[in-house]
Amino acid sequence: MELFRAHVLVCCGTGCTSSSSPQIMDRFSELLPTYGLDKEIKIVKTGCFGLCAEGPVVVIYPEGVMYYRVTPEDVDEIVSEHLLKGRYVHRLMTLTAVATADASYSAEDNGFFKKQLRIALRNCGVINPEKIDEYIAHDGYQAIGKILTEKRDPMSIIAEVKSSGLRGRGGGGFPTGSKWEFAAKVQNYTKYVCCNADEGDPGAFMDRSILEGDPHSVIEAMTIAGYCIGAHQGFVYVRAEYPIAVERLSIAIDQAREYGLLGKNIFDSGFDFDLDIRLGAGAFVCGEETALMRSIEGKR
Amino acid sequence: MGKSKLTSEEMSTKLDAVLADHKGEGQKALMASLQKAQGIYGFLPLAVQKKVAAALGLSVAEVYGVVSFYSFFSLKPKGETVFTVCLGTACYVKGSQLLLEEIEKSIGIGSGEVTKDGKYSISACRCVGACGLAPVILVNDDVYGRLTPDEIPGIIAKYKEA
Repeated sequence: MELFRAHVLVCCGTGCTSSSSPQIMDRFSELLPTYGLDKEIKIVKTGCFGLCAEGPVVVIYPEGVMYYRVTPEDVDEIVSEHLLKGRYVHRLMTLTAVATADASYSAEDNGFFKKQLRIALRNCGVINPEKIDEYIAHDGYQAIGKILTEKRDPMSIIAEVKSSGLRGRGGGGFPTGSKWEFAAKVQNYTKYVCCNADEGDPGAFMDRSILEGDPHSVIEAMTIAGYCIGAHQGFVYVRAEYPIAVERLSIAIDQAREYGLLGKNIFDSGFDFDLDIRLGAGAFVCGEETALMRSIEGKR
Repeated sequence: MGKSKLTSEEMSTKLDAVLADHKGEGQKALMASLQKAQGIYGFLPLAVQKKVAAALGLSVAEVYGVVSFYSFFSLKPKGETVFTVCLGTACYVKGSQLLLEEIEKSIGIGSGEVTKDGKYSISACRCVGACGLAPVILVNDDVYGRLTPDEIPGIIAKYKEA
């Protein structure tokens, strides 16, 4: 495996992409070889850090220094000063929109992130969402692997989800374990797992952050849900307005199929599960679950 | 959007290929077929809706009902250059209405309209998901954020030259 002394993480979520992070990535790729640094420093495309108003955001590890509102022109200075000489570019390190009394250098210590405990978003902004191996390296697909290889009883998993206190993220906060239990008890119907990513509330991007930053976690979770309730097909309903989320999820689904983590006989367990994406078409009401299911069926 | 001009025969062949994949699948394939059809034509004229209906085994009324319900589907053609102003909540409170008015004034048409020569059209949309950059406009697929009305003429000029 190749080893690198530093990693440059460039946020390529929707906010930062709109404010030219792809050009920043290109500029890094162009400059590193001219300084002879391309063998020792790796550039990583990541999902959202959650600081879109300060974007484009670039984070440099191992120091964990965060640079805000970076322009493609700033890249020259970051490379020649920080990456080559180890001197931070202080003018790009001040948060402007977020009030932080104790703004500090590193991503972990800065006032905005310090009090956060990221659970669902733990991998966002850390891994490259377009590489399944990076998700697996962060213990991805371990849960579904354990469940299927140990042939766990679905009801015991549901009991565990219930006792974990996991709830929906949509606002109603419905207990996830109860929802799965109701679905599992229904007999004689073909069941489906639907993932509602038709996020239409202004300024709220929890669904999109996950799909853009850690799509495999959604695939793994839906597969577990499918196993628990007895479904073999899932649908993810995403807004057409979020092309990056759609693209990364499509890549993730293809990779998961290639690795045998979606499709027939997952982990040689005899369990089949597959996923398809359904695109929204600009109807706010489709975020509501019954409307969403009608829309998946092609109705209005 | 609208960059590579296809002839009507080419568009028709492409649509036939798309519909062949969904032949007789009915309602469940409708949204995907319409999205692909709009990707080819840029909008959904009645003739296209009829073709989709026939291929999927639906009535034209069922297809039209879905097309007219979802705001993403358009019954009218758009201009070669499309200006889209986000009027979602975050952009609106940051003054995107003023940006829209400025664009309307500069191009000389209202929102939802196309210039007579078919070159420009203006539309409004709900949230492109870049609230951190509000107010935001899109010109075709390019995003411009944190704008003030006095920056609009410069942006328009860029697309007039091209």
